[in-house]
Amino acid sequence: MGRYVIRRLLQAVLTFGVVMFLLHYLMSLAIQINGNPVRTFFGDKPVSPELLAATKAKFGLDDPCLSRVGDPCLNLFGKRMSDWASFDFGTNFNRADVSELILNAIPKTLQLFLIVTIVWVLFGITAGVLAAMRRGRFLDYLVRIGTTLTIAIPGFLLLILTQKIIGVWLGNWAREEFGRDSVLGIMFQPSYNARYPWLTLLVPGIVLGIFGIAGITRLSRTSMLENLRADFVRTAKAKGLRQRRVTIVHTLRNSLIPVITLIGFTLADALGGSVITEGIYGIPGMGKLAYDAVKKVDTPVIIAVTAILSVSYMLVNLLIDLLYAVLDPRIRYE
Amino acid sequence: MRSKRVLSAVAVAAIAGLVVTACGSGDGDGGSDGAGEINLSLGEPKSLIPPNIGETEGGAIARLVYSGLYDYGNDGSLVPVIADGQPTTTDNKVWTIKLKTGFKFQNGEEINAELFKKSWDFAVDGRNANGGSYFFSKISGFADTQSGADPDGEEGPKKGADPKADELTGVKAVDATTLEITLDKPWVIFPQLLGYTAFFPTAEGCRTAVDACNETPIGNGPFKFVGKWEHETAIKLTRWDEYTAEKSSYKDLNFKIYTGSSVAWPDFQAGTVDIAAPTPDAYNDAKSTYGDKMIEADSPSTWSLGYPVYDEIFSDVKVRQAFSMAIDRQAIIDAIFQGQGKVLDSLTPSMIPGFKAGTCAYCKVDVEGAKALLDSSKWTKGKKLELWTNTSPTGEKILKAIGDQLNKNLGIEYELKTLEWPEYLQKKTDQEITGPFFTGWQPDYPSIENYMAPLYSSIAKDGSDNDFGFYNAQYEALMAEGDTAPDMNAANAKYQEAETILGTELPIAPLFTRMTSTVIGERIDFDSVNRNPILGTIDFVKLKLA
Repeated sequence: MGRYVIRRLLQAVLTFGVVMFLLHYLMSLAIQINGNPVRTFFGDKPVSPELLAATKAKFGLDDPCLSRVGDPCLNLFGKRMSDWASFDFGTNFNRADVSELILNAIPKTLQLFLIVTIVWVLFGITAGVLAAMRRGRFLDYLVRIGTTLTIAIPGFLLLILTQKIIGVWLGNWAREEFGRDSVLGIMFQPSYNARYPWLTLLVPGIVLGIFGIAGITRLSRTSMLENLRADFVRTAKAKGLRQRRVTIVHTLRNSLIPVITLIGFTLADALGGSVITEGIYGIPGMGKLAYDAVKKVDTPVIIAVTAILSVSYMLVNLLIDLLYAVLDPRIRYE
Repeated sequence: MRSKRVLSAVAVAAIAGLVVTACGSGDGDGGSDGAGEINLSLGEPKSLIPPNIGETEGGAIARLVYSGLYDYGNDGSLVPVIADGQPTTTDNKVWTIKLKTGFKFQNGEEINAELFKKSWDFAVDGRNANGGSYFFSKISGFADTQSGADPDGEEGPKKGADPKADELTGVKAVDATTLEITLDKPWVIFPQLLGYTAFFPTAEGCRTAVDACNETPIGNGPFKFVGKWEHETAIKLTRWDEYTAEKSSYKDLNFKIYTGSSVAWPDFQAGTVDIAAPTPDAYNDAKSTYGDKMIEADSPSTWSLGYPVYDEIFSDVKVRQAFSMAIDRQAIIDAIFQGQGKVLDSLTPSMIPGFKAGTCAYCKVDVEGAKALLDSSKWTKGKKLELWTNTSPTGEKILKAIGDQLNKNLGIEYELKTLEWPEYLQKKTDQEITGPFFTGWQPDYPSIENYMAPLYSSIAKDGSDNDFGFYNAQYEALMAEGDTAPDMNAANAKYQEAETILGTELPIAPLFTRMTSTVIGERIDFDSVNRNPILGTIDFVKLKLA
């Protein structure tokens, strides 16, 4: 197990290096092809070459390689990596410290994802299990139609509708009925409120959870169905074990292996969804940070955010692989 | 039947779990003062250091946290704040400003003439790369405070030399309450600049720790910061009780920052934001719901179609005039902005001092006239027209509408050329654009001169070094006469003559200004709302709670 973890971590370091360089190269190319973003600070206004040069220097975008298309800008890359080694992530175009921006953003995205994961586990897996146990009956059809619907509705549409219907209409009703500071009045809010982080994250969290829920529900259902017919379940039943033990210990636990893999991957996908969710609900998390930075070609932020995302992606994958061993005693990493 | 019980247990647990999460987050009840607090929306500012502020968002905060010599009245006139009376001059070259006493910074530093001088030296120094330093460019000694030109060009490894001078020789603190400003040459418009944020004072404690001051400004205005600027999240201000000029009647002013795709409108509807602009799709709905609480006003920013006058074909004024006459501006406003715009028939919008209606002789739709003009021009029939814009949904929509009209009215085939914003701006400066292009102008100071001089005037003599490659000797002469005119009225008369030349020569075809709509929420006393059409913002200090 220990050797396996070390090998995986070494692979991760290599992957990380490649990701960083590719990203750096793409960002440099973007500047080389699309022009230096510093010029946009002045908009349509005429700007003297001296002021432009001084501003480029201020934001570290004055390296001559940035005007040679295709130049990999190795100097800049080396400088960035050595800054990172001393935990200096630089400043963004608004002169804000990037490390601080990220440290402020991470908790919000984690809170959002915690809600998303709870939604998946509570609703997704439960619905899948229930559908499998009631196969071919009303509940099964309901779950199957429901999952198809959640896939068919585009995410942003659902977000905008929820914002309007739950945040504004239902929220205004609740605020009028129970008062502005009632739990429902705050929970049904069209956007994030830093005073009540958990309450205002609940609705967008559930909506974001709906994006990935279909796959998880369907997979739990299929997996349960498969295992319900497995030999070991029949044996367990024949042995006279209690129904609860058969369902939970023998069937459910074995059915969860593929589901957990999927949760890991879907979480990574949900990072994409979080860009839209955080954008529409104004949640100052990683997704919004990345989205705003990309729009401004704010290189230091984009690279730092992507670095953190790729590290967490690799860690989540490692964690999933290790979870296999816990859930299935037959799997051993030696 | 056992399985049923298990399953309902799971389901109950699921629901209970949700309830627990919901209850567990009820903490952090920050209290609700109710009275004494106004909540507003804002875009993310770029900077909060006064001489580095170039956009509305930063300007809105700076005008609350800082006080300058002057503010702008609703008609664009100078309203003294720290200054004592209007600037005085005998020759329009040396300007004297008297200061009031008693103004302080929030860290205790006293504000006097010497402090203004130091603030402005900091503003112009090339090494500080302040975006607003160009406002000082007509003050004598400005050139020496700038960094030298890059000796081997952008691609070379060498950097420009450091500035020759540390201070702006044209600014003198005669005594504690008298500032004397000397310009390179007489310029009657100069006082109009003084209300701009670039001229606001900065504390010594701010200039020595710029980055910290950007996060928590050391102000001298009616409000002070509570905590830091929470980037892309919020800015919280509270009334500074030691301020000696007009203070607000309420205590706290909170700005929620909206970036990316999040907008303030749903929050306004939910009552958590007190003033907001409806989204374009919600405009009609908002108008019928809030009607008399909605303020609709023209904006000072103009949108135009620029011509590459340096290009062989567009050097022919008839082509420029013909295209301008073939564009139905109102139709574009109706189609793209639900009628929320105002057609321009001169180069400036109406709220700007010196405005004269109808200076553009070719801004009215006249398809027959346009056809006739085009036939006698250098335009070669069958040539494909290139229309340039940066990649933005609005710009692309507008240029497509213009292209379709030119196609319908003049039978011209067109092609849209879109570029990313930085490249587009660079190509414009380098005069590499080969067809009419989309361009906008946000004024720096309230004068019609500001809608012309920075754009069409030539820096080099007999040159055409502006973005349009435009040069007209008569226009240059009239602008120079305006600059040296004895007073503002005489100057505006000359500027209007110059504008008429531009309206005939058409380096650009003026298109329209956008109307903005703002809805005032029920928590605000509507009568206390005073919107300044020049700055395009509401005077937040004067707001009262209902």
